[in-house]
Amino acid sequence: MKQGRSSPNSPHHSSLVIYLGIALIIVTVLSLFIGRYPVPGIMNPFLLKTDPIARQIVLNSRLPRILGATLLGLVLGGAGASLQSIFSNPLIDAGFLGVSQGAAFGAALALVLGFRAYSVIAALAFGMAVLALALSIWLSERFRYGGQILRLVLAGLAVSAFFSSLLSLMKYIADPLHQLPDIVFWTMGSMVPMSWKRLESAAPIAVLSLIVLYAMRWRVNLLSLDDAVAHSLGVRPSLERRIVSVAAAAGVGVMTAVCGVIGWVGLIIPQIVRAVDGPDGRFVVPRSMLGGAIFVLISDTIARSVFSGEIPLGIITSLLGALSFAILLTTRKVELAR
Amino acid sequence: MNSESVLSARDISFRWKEDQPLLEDISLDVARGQTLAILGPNGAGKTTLLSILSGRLSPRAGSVNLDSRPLISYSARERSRLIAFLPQLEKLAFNYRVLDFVLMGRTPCMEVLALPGKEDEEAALKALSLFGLDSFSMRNIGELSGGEFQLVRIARCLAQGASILILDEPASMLDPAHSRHIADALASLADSGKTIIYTTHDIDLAIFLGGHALIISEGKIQWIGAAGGLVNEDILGRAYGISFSIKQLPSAF
Repeated sequence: MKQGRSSPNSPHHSSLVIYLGIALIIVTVLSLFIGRYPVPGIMNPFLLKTDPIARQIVLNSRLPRILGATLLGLVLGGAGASLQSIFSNPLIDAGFLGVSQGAAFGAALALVLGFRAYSVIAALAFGMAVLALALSIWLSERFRYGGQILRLVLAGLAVSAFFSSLLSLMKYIADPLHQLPDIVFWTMGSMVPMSWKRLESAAPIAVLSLIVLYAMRWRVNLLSLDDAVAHSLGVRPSLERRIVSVAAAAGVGVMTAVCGVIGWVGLIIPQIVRAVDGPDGRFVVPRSMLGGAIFVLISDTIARSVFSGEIPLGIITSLLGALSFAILLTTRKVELAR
Repeated sequence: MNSESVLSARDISFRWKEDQPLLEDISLDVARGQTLAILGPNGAGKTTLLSILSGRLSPRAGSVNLDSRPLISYSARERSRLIAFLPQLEKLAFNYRVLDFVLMGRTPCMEVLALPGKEDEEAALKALSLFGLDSFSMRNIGELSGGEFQLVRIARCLAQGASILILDEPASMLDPAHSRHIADALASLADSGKTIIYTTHDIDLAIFLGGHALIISEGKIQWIGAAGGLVNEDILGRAYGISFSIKQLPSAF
C-alpha cells in the first residue's frame, strides 16, 4: 500500500483546502500593503489612519484590483481543472474553446472601431467570447470525424485559429500610433482596468460560474471516464459536459473582457494540484480555484510593485507558468494513467 | 413475452449505415439471475447488441423491456441503478486512486450533486474486498497490471449495486491466470444472484461459467442454448466458418 495517502473522507483532504484558504487570505492582506506608495515595499498599515492618499490607494485602487485578481484566479483555476477533467485532457485550459481568442478579437474590434469607453470594449469582448463558445459547440456537432470530445477539441482549435487571425487582421489595420499599442497591451492582460464598478459588473457571472463549477466537482470525475461508463452510471455526458463548458467559458469570458487575456493559470495550477494529491475533482477543483487565486494575486503584486512602470500581468503569469510547467514535467512523473 | 424475464429484446434491428444491416430481428429473453454468453465472429454486432441491451443505443426497430417496462421509458438514473455496463476498453486520462475510481460506481446511489459519503466508501471497499483487492484501495490505477485493472473495473460495476451486469469481453487480452481470476469473480457474482450478460471469444470461458449462450453471426442469432451445448463442432463451425475439433488441450478453466 502506498503510504501517506488518506481516505477521501478524511480530515486531511479538507484541511488542505483550509490551508489554501488561509494562505489566500494572508496573500490578499499582504498585497494590500505591498506596492510603491509611499516608497516601494510594504506600507505601514497605520498610514491608513493618518494619510488620506494611502487610504484612497488601498481602498479604491488596490482593494478592487486585488479582489478582481482573486476572482480571476478562482475562475481560471476552477475552469481549467474542470475542463481538463471533462475533456479527459490534462493539457488544455479555458482558452481552447476559442473563448480567449474570441474575447481578444472583440476587444480589438472595439478599439479599431474607435470605441474608447471600457464598457463597450468589455461588452464586445464578452460577446465575442460567448460567440466563440457557441461556434465551437455548433461546429463540433456538425463535424463528421471523431467522438464527441475530439470533435469539440478540434472545433475549439478551428474557432481559436479563426479569431486569432481576425485579431491579427485588427492589429494590421489598427492605427499604429494609438490603437495598436492599446490592442497589444489588452492582449497581454492586466489588472490595471479593474475598479469597483468593473468588479461589480463582472462579479455576478464570475461567481455564478464558480458556484456551478464547484457543484459539479464530483460529476467532472465521471465525465473524465469513457462515455459508455459515464452513461452506465446515469450521467448524460453531452448535457453535463455542456453545462460545465458554458459555466467555465462564461466565467473566463467575463473576466477576460475586463482584464484581457491571462494565460497559463488554468493550465498549470490544476497540474500542480494533481501532482500533489491526485486527480479527484472533489479536491482538484476547489484547490485549483484557491491555487489560481493565490498565483494570480502574487503575479499581479509583482506586476505592479517591482518596477515603477506596470508589467502586463499576462507576461508574469506566462513566465511563471511556463517555468513551473517545465519544472513540474522534469521533476515528476507525468500523472497520466491508461 | 416471457413473464419471468428481467430483460427481453423483441425483433430488434440495428444498422450504422442504411445499406449495411448489423442486427436483424433479434429476440431474446434473459431471466433474473441468468448468465448469458454472447459469442460470434468479429464484427457480428455483439458489442452493438450489448449497447442496445444496456440502453446506450436505441434499436432502429423492435423494443427492449426491462422488468416488463420499455427500457427507453427509464430515466438515466433509474436505469443506472438496475443495469451496470462495462465496455471492453477503457482509457483513463487521469491516474485515479483505486478507491476513488470504484467510488465513482456509487454515483447512481447518490443524490445528483452529492459527494460520496462514508456509506459509499464502505460499499466501494466491500466490492474491492469481494475480489481480494483490499490492499489495492490506496494504490493508483497506473500501478495496476491489466488483469488487476480489469478486476477493479468489475468491482466498480459491482459497487453500482445494479442487479444486471452487462460486460463486453471481460476476460479478453489477459494471461490464463488473470482470465481464470476474472472467471471465478464472475462465477461468484452469478452465484450471488446477479444477472450477467457478457460477450466473449473464449469458448472455454462460456462453458466454464455455464448458464446460457448464444452465437450471433451475419446479424442473426445462429444458435442459442445451454452453454454446455457449445461443445459441438458443427455449431461452432457454422458460426465461425471454419472447421472445429474438440480436443483435450491445456485450459485455465
